[in-house]
This record gives sequence, structure tokens and C-alpha cells, in this order.
Amino acid sequence: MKLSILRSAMLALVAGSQMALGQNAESYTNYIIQTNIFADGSEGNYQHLPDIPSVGSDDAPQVIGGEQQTDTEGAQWKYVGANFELFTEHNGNGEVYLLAKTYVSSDGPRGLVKLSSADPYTPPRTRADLGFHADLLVQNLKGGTGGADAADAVEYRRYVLPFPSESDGTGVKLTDATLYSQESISKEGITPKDYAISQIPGSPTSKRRGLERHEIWTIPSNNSKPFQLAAATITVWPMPTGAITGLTNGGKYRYVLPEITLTYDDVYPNSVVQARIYKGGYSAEEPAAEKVYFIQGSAVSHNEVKPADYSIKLSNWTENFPEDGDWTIELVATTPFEENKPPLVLDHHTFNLDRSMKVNSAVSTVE
Amino acid sequence: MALALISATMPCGLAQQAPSREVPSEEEIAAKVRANIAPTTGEVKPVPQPAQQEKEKGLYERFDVLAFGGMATIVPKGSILKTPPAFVSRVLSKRDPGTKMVQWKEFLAANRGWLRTFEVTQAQAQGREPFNEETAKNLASSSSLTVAIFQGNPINILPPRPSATPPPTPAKP
Repeated sequence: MKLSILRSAMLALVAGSQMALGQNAESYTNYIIQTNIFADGSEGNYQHLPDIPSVGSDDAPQVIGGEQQTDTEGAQWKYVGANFELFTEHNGNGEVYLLAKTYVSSDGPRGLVKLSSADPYTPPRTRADLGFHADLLVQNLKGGTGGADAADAVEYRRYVLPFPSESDGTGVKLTDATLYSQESISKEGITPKDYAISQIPGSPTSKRRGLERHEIWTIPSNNSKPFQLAAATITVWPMPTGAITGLTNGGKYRYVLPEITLTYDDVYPNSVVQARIYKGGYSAEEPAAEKVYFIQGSAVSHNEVKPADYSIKLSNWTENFPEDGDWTIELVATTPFEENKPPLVLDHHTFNLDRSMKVNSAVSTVE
Repeated sequence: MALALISATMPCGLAQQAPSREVPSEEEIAAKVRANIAPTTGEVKPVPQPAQQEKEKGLYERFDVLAFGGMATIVPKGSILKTPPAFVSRVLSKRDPGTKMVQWKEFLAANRGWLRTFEVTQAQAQGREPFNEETAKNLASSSSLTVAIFQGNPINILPPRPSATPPPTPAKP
């Protein structure tokens, strides 16, 4: 009964991962790993599964397909449940990510955490200025409604772990994460949570980077220790910023524009940043596409899995302007959050370009 | 629909403005963080067994890779019962980028010439029942790389657990 729901949820997570990967779906390989757990909490056998197993009867004392031990064999040989972990591996660089983990037993509560954001990438990630969503699936509570003892509720914990400045997270340890909040969940089914922004500590807030880890635990009682039922992680990357230097806002330029430097900082993964121009002053709204010209040589397509900085010098760029007059140059970023939306403006300047030649001459006649 | 109607009937000056195209300011983001602080922050209960202390093993800490002919699959460490010297190079600690990862059954079907399986019982997999003498002899004399399987899937063989150990106190709910 309930296991089939959990199975569906796990499979949905796998399917979601594939869908999220979109055009890069063929670049990842997913693995579902089952690790059996003994009554003392130690790990037993583990297997790579082609699929989450269907269990014929939820009343079976052994969740894992296996032989049922007799009482005479002792409790130490009994598996009380199993951890199911969903890993994904990038086929190109070989990086492996744990997407989700869930503990399943036949008689205790079960949980599943799924974190996501408007960025469809897997493993999930978001930006320091944006939020994310959590779906918390809880099953097999005794009462289903209320109560604070172990079987009537589970505990939902939110941990935060900032990365050091400029770090891509390599080498950080979950042991350094701090507990941010905790609450009990006594409702069966999916509890959705919308988080408007990450609570990873750090300053400036726009440049925070790190991860949030959300976990579901059993509530300890007199005769049982707390036990992790499910966990998932979302990475937070800084908001991209940029600057145009070498050009004065409101400046007037004759004949040739000066050399400028375009600086792109913390370019979010799978983003395109570039400079573009349009006639007139800065527009608070997205200018019409036919009025916009992109500056040749200014674009960076950043397809790494971590943010990066770029700097581009442009010296011969006057030819990008079809006519003279007041122009606005913008640095814009299209991150996965701006799909089907106007790009994010990182910096802008308005200036005047005048390439007209005035010839002052006198005509005289010599006789 | 209602919003659109409200917007259409409002005086121009009061119409809802399009969201800014510019990146939000530091102050705006900081205010957003403050406005969304969890109500439980500051009164967090002590956690007797923090999640951080849980041992998390990576994929390749628990699995070996079998690879041959541009194809690969993973098997639990401890599931390979016999590796003849000729096939040592087909057992890797990590996947070689570029190889196509396939499910165990597909890999087995394509590599029957050098790969064989040995179905174990759960008691054998748990290390509480040793292989009998005949099985041990067969494994020793086998010229194939041999993988322990349980119900069709490769499974690791645990080291023997002392049966004299008193049953531990159940830790799970």
C-alpha cells in the first residue's frame, strides 16, 4: 500500500532528474542503491537496483526482498529496513552527486525529501537572491494526526552550510553544517514548503554560496534513538554581477569609442552573459528585440557546473552602432531562471556617439 | 483574470509596474532574508545525534566498476568472489569517462565469455554461513571472473559476524 507511493515518489524523482536534465539527459547516469540496515543500525548488504523494488505485502517483516529469519537466529541478523539512495553521475567529468536518500522500513515512519527550484538542473541548485521549494513526503505514522511520540510524528530539520569565499564546495564537510530550524510533522502525505530565499549565513547576502540540507528524522523516545529517514541537498550560488568600465555614463564620444572592459562576476552555471545596445536612454522595461544589437565579442556562454568570473576587453567596437546619437549599453545575463523571461541587467551606461565630420573651409578665388 | 481587470481599470499612474530587470540590490536581498527567517530560529532544540555525524559513503566507496569493450556496470565491493589475473584490468575503482554505463543484466549478457555469477543465500551474503568446500574449490579453479548475486543482482558478502554477540538494542522505531 504505502510502499507503492514511496516507490512512485522515488521513481518520480528519477524521472524528474531526467526531465530536469533536459537536453543533457544523456550526459548523466542514475543509480539507485539499496543498503540493508541491521537492528543495531549498522549497514548490511547493498545492491545496485535497476528499479525500486515492489514489495508484495507491506505486512512482511522484511522490507528487502530476502529470506525471513527465524526467531532462533537472533535479532542481530535481522534487517529492520533499508536505505535507498539515488546517485547521479556526470558522464563527462565523472562527478557523482547524491540526489536523495530515503529510509524504508515495514513498520516505522517513512519519509522522502525533494528539493527543487526554477532552475531545472539536477542536482538541485538556486541563486542567493532567489528561493526554492521542498516537498516532504511522510508516511506510515501511527495516528496520522498529531501527537509527539515517536510513531505519530517525524522531525524535519533544515541545515545550512556556507562555502568559503570563491569556493566551489570542494572539500566542504557536512559535519560543518549547522542546524537552522526544526519542526515536527504529524501529517501524512506531502507537505510542500516554499522558501523565498536561502538562509545560508554570509555577507554580502547576494554573494552567499553554500548548501542547504533538509532531513526527516524519527523523533527519539525512551527506547529508540533518532534515525534519519530521508535527506536531500540544494546548492546555492551567488547572484551574478557585472560592470562596464572605460565608458562614462552620460559621456559624449566623437568618432571612435574608447576601449572598454566588461567584467562578469559569479556567472551562474549554464548562463549566457553579453553586452547589448539600443538607441536612447535606459529603458526600465525590456526593449523590443528588433531595437537591440548585441556587441560582437562580448558574449560568454558559461556551461560549467560552478560559477566563474570573466573579463573581456573591447577596443574596436564602434562599428556595432548603425547610427549616431544617444545609446545605452547593457550587460545582461540569462541564467536558467530567466528562461522565457527578459535577461537580468547587471550594469548599464548611456552615452552619446557622434561620428559626423564637420569641415570648416573657406573658398577664395585667385585671379 | 480579476487582476487583469483591476489593472486595466486603474489610472495609468497606479497600474502595476513591470518587475525590475535589474539585479536586486544588496539591501533588497538582505531584507528578503530577514523577512523569511524561520520562526523556530533561536529556539532550536538540542539535537542528540546531529545529521552531520552520520557517515555518508559515496557511490564508489561501496561499488567497483566492471568494464570491457566500452561498456561498464557497477557491482558492490565485496561481491567479486574470484578475479583471475587475466581480468584484473577489467575491475576498476571508478568509472572511466566515456564508457557506456549499463545495467548489470545487460553487461552480463554481453560478457558471458569471461563473467559468471554465483547465487548466494542471504545467510551467505550476511556472512553467517560460509561457502561449503565444494563451492570454495569451484571458485578457486574457475577461470572466469565470478560475482555473487542475490535474486539476480550482485550483492556484497559481509565478513562473518560473531554469532555469540548478544542481540543489540533495536535502534529503529
